[in-house]
Amino acid sequence: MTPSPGCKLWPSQGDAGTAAAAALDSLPPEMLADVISRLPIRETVRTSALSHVSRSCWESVPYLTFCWPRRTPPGAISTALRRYSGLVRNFTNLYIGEEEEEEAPFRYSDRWLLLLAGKGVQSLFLAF
Amino acid sequence: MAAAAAEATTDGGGKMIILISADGKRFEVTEAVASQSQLISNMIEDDCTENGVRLPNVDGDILTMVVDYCNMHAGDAAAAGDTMKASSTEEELKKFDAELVQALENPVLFKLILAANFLNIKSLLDMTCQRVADMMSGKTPEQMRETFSIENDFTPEEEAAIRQENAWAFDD
Repeated sequence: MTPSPGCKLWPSQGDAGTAAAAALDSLPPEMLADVISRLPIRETVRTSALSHVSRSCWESVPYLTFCWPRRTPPGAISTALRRYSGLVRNFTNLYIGEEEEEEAPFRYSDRWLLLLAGKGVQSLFLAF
Repeated sequence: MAAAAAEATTDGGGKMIILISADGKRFEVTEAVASQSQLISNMIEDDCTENGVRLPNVDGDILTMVVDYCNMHAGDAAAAGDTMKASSTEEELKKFDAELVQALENPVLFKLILAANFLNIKSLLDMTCQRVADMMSGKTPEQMRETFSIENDFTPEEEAAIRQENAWAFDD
C-alpha cells in the first residue's frame, strides 16, 4: 500500500468562526478526526470513500470504538486493525456465524489480541 | 440575554468583561460565564481582559450563540451542590442544547465547531462534533456527501477500489 497523506497534511484553517466552511472535509483535521472518532465503525470506514481529503483520515484519528456489526468478515476486522494507528477505546465482536464457515473468527482472534495489545485497548468483549 | 447572564451568576463571578466579535459586536458577560472558554479563562488569569477581548475570527452571529450557551451553562457548577435544582437544571440544559444544535444549517454548525475549538469550550465542541457524527450515522457515502456538500474527487476506478478494500462496510 502506498502511504497516503492522512490527516496531518491537510490545510489547517486559521479562521475560527468567520470562514464559510460549508463542506465537512473543509474542517481542520483535528476537528474532522473528532467527528470521525464518534462514528460507528461502519460509518467510520465509509468516510474513506468520501473524498481524497477524508481518504485515510480514519486510520489515524486519536481513538476509535470498534463495535463490529454481526457477521463482519473476520478478515476485514484484522485488516482494519492493521491499518488503524490510533488507540482502541473499545473492541466488541458479537460474531454469530455459520458453523461450517471457513472463516471461523476464532482463527483470527489471536492476531486481533496481538494488534489490540499495541493499541492500548481499554475494553474488550469477544463472543463466538 | 443580559438579564439571563445576571441571573445565572448571582452567586459569584460578578466582574464583567467585554467580548468583541470580528464584526465589532460587543457582548458584556461576567467572568464566570466567560471562563467556560479556557482561552478567555487564561486571559482573565493573566489580567489581559481590561480593554475587552477581541475575537477577530469569530462572527457576531456565532458569538451570540456561544454567549447564550455559556450563559445557560454558567449555572452548572453552582447547581451541582443542590440535587433537586441540579436535576431540573440538567433537563432544561439538555433541551436547550438539543434545540441549539438541531436548528443549525451546516455552515453555521461548522462555524460553531471552529469557534468552540478556538475559544476552547470543550462541552460545546463535544456537542457540536457529536451532532455532526449523529447526522452521518446510518448514511451511505453518497448520502454523507449530499448532507455535507462533499465533492467526490475520486475517479470511478479509485472509488471502486476503496469500496473493494472494505466491501463489508459498503454492502447495503
